[in-house]
Amino acid sequence: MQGQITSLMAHLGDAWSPGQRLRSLRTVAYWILTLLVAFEMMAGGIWDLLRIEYVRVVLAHLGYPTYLLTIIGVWKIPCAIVLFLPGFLRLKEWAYAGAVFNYTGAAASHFLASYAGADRLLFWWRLH
Amino acid sequence: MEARTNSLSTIFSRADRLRTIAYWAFTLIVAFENAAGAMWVFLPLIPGINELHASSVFAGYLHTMLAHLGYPQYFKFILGPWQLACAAALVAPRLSRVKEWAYAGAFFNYSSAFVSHLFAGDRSDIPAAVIAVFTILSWALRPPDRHLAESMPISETRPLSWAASALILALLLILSLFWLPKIPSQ
Repeated sequence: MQGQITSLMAHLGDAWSPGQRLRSLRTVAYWILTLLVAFEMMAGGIWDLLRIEYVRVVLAHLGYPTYLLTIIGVWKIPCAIVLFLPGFLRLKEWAYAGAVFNYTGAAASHFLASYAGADRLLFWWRLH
Repeated sequence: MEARTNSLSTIFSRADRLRTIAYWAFTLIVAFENAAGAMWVFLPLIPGINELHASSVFAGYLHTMLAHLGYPQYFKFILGPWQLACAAALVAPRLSRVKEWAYAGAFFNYSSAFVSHLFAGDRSDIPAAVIAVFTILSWALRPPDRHLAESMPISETRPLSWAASALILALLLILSLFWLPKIPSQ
């Protein structure tokens, strides 16, 4: 009896505890971020494969070859799909890895392409 | 019966040993390729290095290759740090999640290199395709304590294993100094 009451109390406590609220907040945050990334991936993948003007201009500014759109676009679509699917834990890991490589690479490319000679600034001691 | 069980277990342990050897062979080749890739990027940046080592060959090779494939010259500074991290993660003990990322990155890199050569109108770049396949083989043969999630390592990793992996990485980096590429004539 004592044990039952304790476990009931614990159960009620759990349901109203900040821990439970944090968990549901976490789930909401997870889905918002996942949907954002997956949407960006899917849209970007389609843009890349269609080679719309926007991505061609950006790519030309960054100095990458146009065929890179095909390589990246082909990966982006399964990446977006895998992020949605339940399970596929290892594939998800690859999708996350690819997404991080893609977006950090894009950010670094914008930085390095916009500042002419930025790659030299990174290694300024060479100039001395 | 006893004898039969014994011979079976011998066969299994031999298969296990073969698997371990194959795993390390593929892993070391892929890790070496990545370590060398990072060295080609960073070694030529050291001032006065050309008096000690013909690293201008590295710089020349990268310059020619990037120009030929149509990639910007700064691309090597994005790839280089990742490649060094990839080599370190592949030879390190455990770190199963980081390894998964290293395998993903290495496979994206080498398969994309292969495809880029095709797009750029070259004959197939067989070495890149081979390294991409070796990446998958190393991934498929990795032992349980390097697997993600299903079996997290139960035992403690000895400091010696970390030291050994640091040593392997250092050796791979040193070895890459002797691996001079031939610059293709444009």
